[in-house]
Amino acid sequence: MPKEVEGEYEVFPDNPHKTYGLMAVVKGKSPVVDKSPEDTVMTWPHLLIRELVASVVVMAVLLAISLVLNAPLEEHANLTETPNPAKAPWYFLGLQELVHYSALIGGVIIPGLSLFLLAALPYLDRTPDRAPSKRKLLTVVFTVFIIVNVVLIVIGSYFRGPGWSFIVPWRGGSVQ
Amino acid sequence: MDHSDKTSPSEAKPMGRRDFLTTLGWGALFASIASTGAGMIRFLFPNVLFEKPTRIRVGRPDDYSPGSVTYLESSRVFILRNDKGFRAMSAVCTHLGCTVNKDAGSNSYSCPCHGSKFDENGGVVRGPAPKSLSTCEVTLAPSGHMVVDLKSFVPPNHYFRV
Amino acid sequence: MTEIIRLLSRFITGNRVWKSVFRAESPVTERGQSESIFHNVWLHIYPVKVRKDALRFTYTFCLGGVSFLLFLLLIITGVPLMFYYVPSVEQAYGSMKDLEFVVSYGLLLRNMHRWAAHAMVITVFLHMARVFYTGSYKSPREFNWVVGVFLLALTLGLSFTGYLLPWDQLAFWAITVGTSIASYVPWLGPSFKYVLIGGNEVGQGALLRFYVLHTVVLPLAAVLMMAAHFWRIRKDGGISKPL
Ligand code: HEM
Ligand code: FES
Repeated sequence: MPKEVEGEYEVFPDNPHKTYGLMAVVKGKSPVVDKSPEDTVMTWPHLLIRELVASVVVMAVLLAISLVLNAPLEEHANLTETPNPAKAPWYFLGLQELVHYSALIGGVIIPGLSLFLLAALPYLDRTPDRAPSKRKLLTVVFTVFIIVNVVLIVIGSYFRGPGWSFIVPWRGGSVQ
Repeated sequence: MDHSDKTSPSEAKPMGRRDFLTTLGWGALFASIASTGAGMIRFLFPNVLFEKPTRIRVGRPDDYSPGSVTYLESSRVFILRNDKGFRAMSAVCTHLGCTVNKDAGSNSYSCPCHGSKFDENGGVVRGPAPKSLSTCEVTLAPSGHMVVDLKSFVPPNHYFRV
Repeated sequence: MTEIIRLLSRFITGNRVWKSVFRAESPVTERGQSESIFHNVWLHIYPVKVRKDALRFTYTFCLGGVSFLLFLLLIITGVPLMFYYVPSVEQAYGSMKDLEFVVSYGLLLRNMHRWAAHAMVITVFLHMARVFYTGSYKSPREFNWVVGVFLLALTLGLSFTGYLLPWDQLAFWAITVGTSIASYVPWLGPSFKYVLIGGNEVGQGALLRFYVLHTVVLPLAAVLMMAAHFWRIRKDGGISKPL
């Protein structure tokens, strides 16, 4: 047994391989005699109730939105006439904005490279510490990545008019 | 009987029968998986398409007045006639395939999708389009109708003369 | 009153049928609570006990869980839509109009399907940002991050393929432009575009292929990847500790 010390101490040291399963049912109040590693709670009810509440909230919000907002449906597809401007769904408008500069660089190379770097991130990042302040460069790069994404989507959604020309929405431009 | 398994190790045999058969077995398995996979991929490429015909009759030369630009909507092609002859200029944007529109009041063209602009000959003026609008081959059918082949391209300075 | 509830629950849970289905003791003791997790095929992906700090809302913001919930809702709303939707260029647009104007609750289901799809893109993206800022992709969770990136790509792929199905102007031109981007991929691009849309231009071939991808191939792939994702969370020792 670990030596008795004042205050908290860990009976089971932190081990990422630690998982819980039922090995045997024994008589007793706690799996460890005297001291238990009670930084844990039962999944039912503590975790599952929380997930239930979160689920109900999400479903209620989704239902409310769907009751007041209708999904768009435009005219029947028509090969001979391209709507002006023709816009992709908002989450692809950043991509469309890049594609507007160049199809190969903006549409293939930049998104392909981003996705590859994103997947390789855990293997490229060799800093040992998890806190963002201990891996400043990467945090800045990732934050810039997110901001650029958002900015491109906003430009594509609100600042692009007919013929993908730059418009200023609050000056009577058409907003989709 | 074959006693090859019992030969002494000094007679360095490259591969025993058992190893050979094992390798052969795995090899055959992977080869059949690979060829099945290749067949599956080939399966996905259709051999026959039910698309619109790419050779279309566009009327007689006299139907087009000199200096005119006529848009044939269903084929997405402009028929241009000037003193050099006829040109069938595709309205499919060379960027990403949207349909370009003729600008009102001028002979230039613009694409609604990402803002490419083309001059009266289909040359890129600005925008992301990498090449000028393509010119389709025009021929004359025995009936006296002009035929445009939407999949066969000629250089832009190539005019069809009657 | 409490007596009635007690009798009623005894009546429901005290018989042989109930006990043959749910073998767990009632979840009032710790043993019963454990058993209700690991004797239940749907719940046994959960550990019986979780770390207290893993429950903190401000650590995960429930973003992964909400992404999964939205995915389930997309299946629940998407399957009924399939009963009315016909993936043919002649009928697709008409079936959307039917859903909007003729089918009971059709409009609501379509709206929910569409908005849940949009929401899922947001929550998956935010979930990725949360995992990044908490450094949770670090050892031993590197591979689960990679699985996550695949899930992100699948989420976007599902949105993209679903976008064509209404066969309206928005759909047609977004997919025409989107699949033309594929043809710019060096060397393989044109063939890739050709198989993706099953022809040279977006038409019946493309609609059917996108329909199959959207309703069978990509959801199945997403389910498999999610199974891997969740299994890895447990094998990596539950979610990471708050910083
Ligand atoms: C369909 C999409 C996804 C679903 C349904 C999903 C679901 C989940 C869930 C339920 C968790 C548990 C913790 C939490 O809720 O935050 C989790 C954790 C995790 N996810 Fe995802 N996820 C998805 C996409 C992603 C993406 C895009 C990434 C990263 C690129 C990612 C990387 C991770 C990692 C590394 C963990 C462990 C985090 C930790 O231990 O703190 N997941 N995921
Ligand atoms: S398709 Fe014409 S500019 Fe992009």
